[in-house]
Amino acid sequence: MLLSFDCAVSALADCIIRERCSAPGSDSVESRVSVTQFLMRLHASMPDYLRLPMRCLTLAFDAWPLLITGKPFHRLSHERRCRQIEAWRHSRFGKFRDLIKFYDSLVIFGWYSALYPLTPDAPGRSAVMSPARQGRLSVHE
Amino acid sequence: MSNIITAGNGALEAEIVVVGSGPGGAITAALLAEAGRNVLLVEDGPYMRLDSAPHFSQQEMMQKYRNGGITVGMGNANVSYVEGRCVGGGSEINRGLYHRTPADVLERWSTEFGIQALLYPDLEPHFDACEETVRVSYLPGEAPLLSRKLDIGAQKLGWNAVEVPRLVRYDGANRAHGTKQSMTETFVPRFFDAGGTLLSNTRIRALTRPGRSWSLRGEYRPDLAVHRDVTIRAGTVFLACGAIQTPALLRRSGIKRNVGNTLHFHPMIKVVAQFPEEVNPPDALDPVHQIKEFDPQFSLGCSMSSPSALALAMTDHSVFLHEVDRNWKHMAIYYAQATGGVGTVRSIPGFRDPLVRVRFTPHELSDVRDGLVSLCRCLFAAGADVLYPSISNSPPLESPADLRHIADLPAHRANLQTLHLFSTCPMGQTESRCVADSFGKVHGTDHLYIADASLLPAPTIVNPQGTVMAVAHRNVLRFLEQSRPAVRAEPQRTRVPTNVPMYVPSVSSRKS
Repeated sequence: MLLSFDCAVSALADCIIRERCSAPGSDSVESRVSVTQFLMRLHASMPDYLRLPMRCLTLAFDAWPLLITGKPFHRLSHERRCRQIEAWRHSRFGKFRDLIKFYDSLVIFGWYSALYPLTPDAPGRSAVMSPARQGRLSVHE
Repeated sequence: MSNIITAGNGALEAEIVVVGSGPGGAITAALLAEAGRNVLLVEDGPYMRLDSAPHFSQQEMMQKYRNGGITVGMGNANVSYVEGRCVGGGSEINRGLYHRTPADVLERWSTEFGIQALLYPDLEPHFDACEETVRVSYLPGEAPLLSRKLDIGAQKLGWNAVEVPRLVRYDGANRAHGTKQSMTETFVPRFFDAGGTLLSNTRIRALTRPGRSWSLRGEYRPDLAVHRDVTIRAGTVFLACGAIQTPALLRRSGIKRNVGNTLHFHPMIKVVAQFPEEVNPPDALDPVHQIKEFDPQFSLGCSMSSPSALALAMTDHSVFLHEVDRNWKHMAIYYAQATGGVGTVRSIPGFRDPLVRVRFTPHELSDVRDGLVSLCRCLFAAGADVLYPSISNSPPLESPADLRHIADLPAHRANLQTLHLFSTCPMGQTESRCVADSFGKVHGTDHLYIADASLLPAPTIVNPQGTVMAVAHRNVLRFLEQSRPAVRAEPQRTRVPTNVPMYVPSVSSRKS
């Protein structure tokens, strides 16, 4: 498929990490994949009325260079990707700026969360409290 | 955990259903159960341990934040906000900073909204009762330097900074950092001990009153593979879903008068400060200082400053992210918080999540800007080398002279956030502007109550959890008195160790 939401998100994450997150480990493919997975999970969790517009805007971002280069964003070289992100980051259209700000903030948070993991207070304990019974409430079938 | 149930295929029945298990809902449910009532506590999110994920981590966002934390009020300045979506609600994810409601705020609410019996002396016994279960303590040792920097800057400018107590218990195995007194650590166990029943992972879509009881329709969704429709019948319903979800549920249920029209919040803007010395060592205690000098116009405070939180706060200055890699121990996050801005909450037909819209007047934005400028002055006075304000395309500030760059706060470039939301269903006897009466009963309905921050008619000025708990405590005792006069719940006493610094309740906070 020419345009791809997943590929566009992955390419955006990859470019922002390489461009902004210069810490040791920024060449780790595994960490970049985990950031992309984090973005996809967040996209699935976001308010439903924002999900479709965000998907459409991301696809529009992917399609943006088609007319000039014949390729979608996710197939561009790293340098050309960076130029497009920078152009949208400073665009006069607020929605374009908002899209890049959205990905900037989540990629950066996802990346640094992986790079500097916080430790749980009590590792190893079961996280979820499990249901044990069909309570004392009356149940009408 | 014999108090936890799953939804079967039939309808559930309970004498009283409490929807939402945050501070308001958990306290309401616990006191009702202790009074011998048959209570079902329904929560949209999962029941997780307090320590199921590191605080402020990516995992916690996905587990316990509504919409993974991607929630925003849209308007002339966008404001991102977070809501807890788990048993315990916001108390599981906040930092637990604690204030009693200032007496002047309660007096103003009482006058403006015609609220009965809500002056400070009326609420004081309810603060006392809540504080017996949720321990309120000062840090057991000296606050970390990133926190004291606020105090140092304030002193140089002739201002007062206060050390704010927290809902944290400093004893046992985790004495240094303490155990946060969230609802899953305090009132939810009390609810279980009293025989209450919890149904988690259940979202209530709407409620109707077909006869003499309420019918709540929803869906039980413990994971992606299971989806079951749920119907619950109850004589009395308490809604405690928070300031966004409670009005959304009421509006979906056709109860719309004054509902969701007056969202208030504390808009907050952050600054990352970089100091020449190490202020933020690994494993530092939580920062606790605030400057309340300028209340109610704005207040200033400090935040947890892990490398990932610092990086997120540096998004507007991402070309300087390498400073986080090199110098994160020298960096910390601070905030200025105002009280202006108003919004609406609306349900959108065909969509699950409510739409939140906000708007600011130029005067309200100038309060945020004044707060930001004062914060920057304080941090420079405390010795900061560089400040990175959360304003898009803003240069870093290297001296007080650079404050001219934020002479105006451009609404579309300021990255505002809020953690404190309220006022979407204000209480009071003034029916023309209030949704519920002085004790939370929804006007024009029978046996329907609200027990969360949406009742608070205007900004609390201070961190609101103490107010939410005390008002919920007051209202549910009133309900019990009126519905069964012979029964009155006695607050459960908890054993208090004697060798940790204790919060001394008073109208004014301790000065540092």
